[in-house]
Amino acid sequence: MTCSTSSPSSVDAHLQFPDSSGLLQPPRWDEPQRACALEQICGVFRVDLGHMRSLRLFFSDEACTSGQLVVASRESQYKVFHFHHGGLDKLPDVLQQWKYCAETHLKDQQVADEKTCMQFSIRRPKLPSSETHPEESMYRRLDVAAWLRHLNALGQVEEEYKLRKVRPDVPAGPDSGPGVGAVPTGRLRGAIFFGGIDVSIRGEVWPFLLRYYSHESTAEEREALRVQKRKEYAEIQQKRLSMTPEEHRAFWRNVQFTVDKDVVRTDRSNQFFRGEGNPNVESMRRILLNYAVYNPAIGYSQGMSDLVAPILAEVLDESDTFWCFVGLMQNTIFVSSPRDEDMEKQLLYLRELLRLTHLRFYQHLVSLGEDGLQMLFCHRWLLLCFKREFPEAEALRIWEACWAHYQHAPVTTNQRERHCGAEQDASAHMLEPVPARLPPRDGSGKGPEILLPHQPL
Amino acid sequence: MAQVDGAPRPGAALGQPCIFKLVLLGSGSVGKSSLALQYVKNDFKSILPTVGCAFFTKVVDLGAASLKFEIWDTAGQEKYHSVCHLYFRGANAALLVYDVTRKDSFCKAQQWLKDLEEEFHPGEVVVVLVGNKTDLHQERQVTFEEGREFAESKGLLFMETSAKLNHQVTEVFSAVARELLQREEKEEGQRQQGDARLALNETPPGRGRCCAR
Repeated sequence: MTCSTSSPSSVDAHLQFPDSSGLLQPPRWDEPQRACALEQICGVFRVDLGHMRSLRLFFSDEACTSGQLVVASRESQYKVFHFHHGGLDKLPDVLQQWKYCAETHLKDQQVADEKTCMQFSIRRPKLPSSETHPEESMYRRLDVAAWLRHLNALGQVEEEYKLRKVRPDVPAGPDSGPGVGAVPTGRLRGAIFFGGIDVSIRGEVWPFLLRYYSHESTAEEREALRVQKRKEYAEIQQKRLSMTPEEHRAFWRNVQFTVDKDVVRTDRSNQFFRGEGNPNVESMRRILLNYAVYNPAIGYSQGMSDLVAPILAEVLDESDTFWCFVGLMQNTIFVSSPRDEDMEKQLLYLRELLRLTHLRFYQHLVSLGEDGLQMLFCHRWLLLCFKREFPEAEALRIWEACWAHYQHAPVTTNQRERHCGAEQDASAHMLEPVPARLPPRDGSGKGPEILLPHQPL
Repeated sequence: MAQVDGAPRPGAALGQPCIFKLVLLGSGSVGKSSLALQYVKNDFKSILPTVGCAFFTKVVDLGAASLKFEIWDTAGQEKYHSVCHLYFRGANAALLVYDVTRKDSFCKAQQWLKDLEEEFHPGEVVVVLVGNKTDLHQERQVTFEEGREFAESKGLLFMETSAKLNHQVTEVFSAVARELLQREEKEEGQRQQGDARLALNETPPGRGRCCAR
């Protein structure tokens, strides 16, 4: 086979769709220079299935051996491979047998006998019901109507709502929940854990999850708190702006220099931060700088901008975002990272989980020697709670699920004590939701127990 | 990470390229990730700050021989410095990257060298001093001469690059590749000279290994 963009000179170059994240410079696939460079480096290529929409084969001869393979990304960018000397006929067999791929039949082709085009699209992996959590299907996404049902007349959040208890003064939304009379009909944490939060109310719900607002607070109290906290925030900022020149030099060197460099390259593809001179980037910058003043022991660590950006984009208000971020930071591994035992502890948990649930992979790591089991490749996953490992929408779902602290698996008393005692540090909960879909295979229930204390919302 | 003593690796057969671990070290935002991205994927774009470590692989074809780089791209922020020894353990090569428009990053590169010297025996690891961002020549704070002199005094390879303009990027990695292969050959030669020398020159554990050997 000959591919126009490929030569067998070397292997292992990645063929990635230019992701839209952080792109200041648009990708230039068609540039001759670029094609030429790719020619030298591409022998084997990889496509990120998360970015891929479809694979199409266009046949140019009757025997269906030559033609083009076209890979399309979700953003409708195309990568074309030319098969001038045959070989294209081998691909359909491979793709048809591949479980992540499904052949889609094109309408206009049903009449024609000979194939001119074949299309395959990516099948989202679906867990068999035996592997999903038994409660998985019981919950729906937390939408506006459901959220309103969790708020009582004073605006306090109730973890459970029961339809028969609905107060007459609380408007019932169009979504009256499954099974009228079923008790309970809605659990807040379950809904968030399994179904996520509707994007439209994230900005309203996240402050509760991040413990800026308490659940018992009334709407009135929350307004008062916001005013109070806004004042505090202004004071922190004032403190930052009134440093002595000497203090400022140290602050610039330890914090501001890096923050300045980082905010302009964080989430810039997100509409909220896009474009030159975007005031939201400036807000993000102030929040991070003020945080370093508020909590000098932590200051600023690279990666924190990744955490604050989505919150700002949902919560919008600078002061509110700051306090949500404060809440988030208390529950992340950044609290004392990156040098410390917290990370070690997390990796220890992860190693144990792997050993219990994916023995073969664990053994593979063991076979790689010391470096393998150290799992350095997981640091970022834990630090940023998978922010960079998934498309943003999915990453934020993971965050919400983590923040919901939903108790999903039985925890034996022993283990609960063990974990609740020594491991009360909240960073541990980063791992909490992982095993929701990992049933104990040997019946001993070993899998899920590793999973840490569940803290009440 | 890939080289294991004793454990047979599937696919590791005669003719497979040798694997070498290369770490990128240097201050924050001097262009470590950009160099790696430009080299591995021929791309230049705004990159999120590296958290922890990012990994790339790339096969280098040098005509007669080829090798595979495992590139460990480390976070540059001072805070992450203390964990970095985890990353450079077992490395065969290190790129000490600084930004030619920032004197402090040049000083920091020199500090990295000290760390490397503590961790490795002389000559155990191929070190290249890389002055990046030559496209910003108007803001230059470190001259070519300064860089070259320092590198010479310490016996390092030296190059200036622009990841943005893709200037000298491949050349840096190729130079490392050639140096690594030369050293490998030399060691091989010495190994064949007899038992006495063999004992002295034995490859330290965790270092230098041709899968084909």
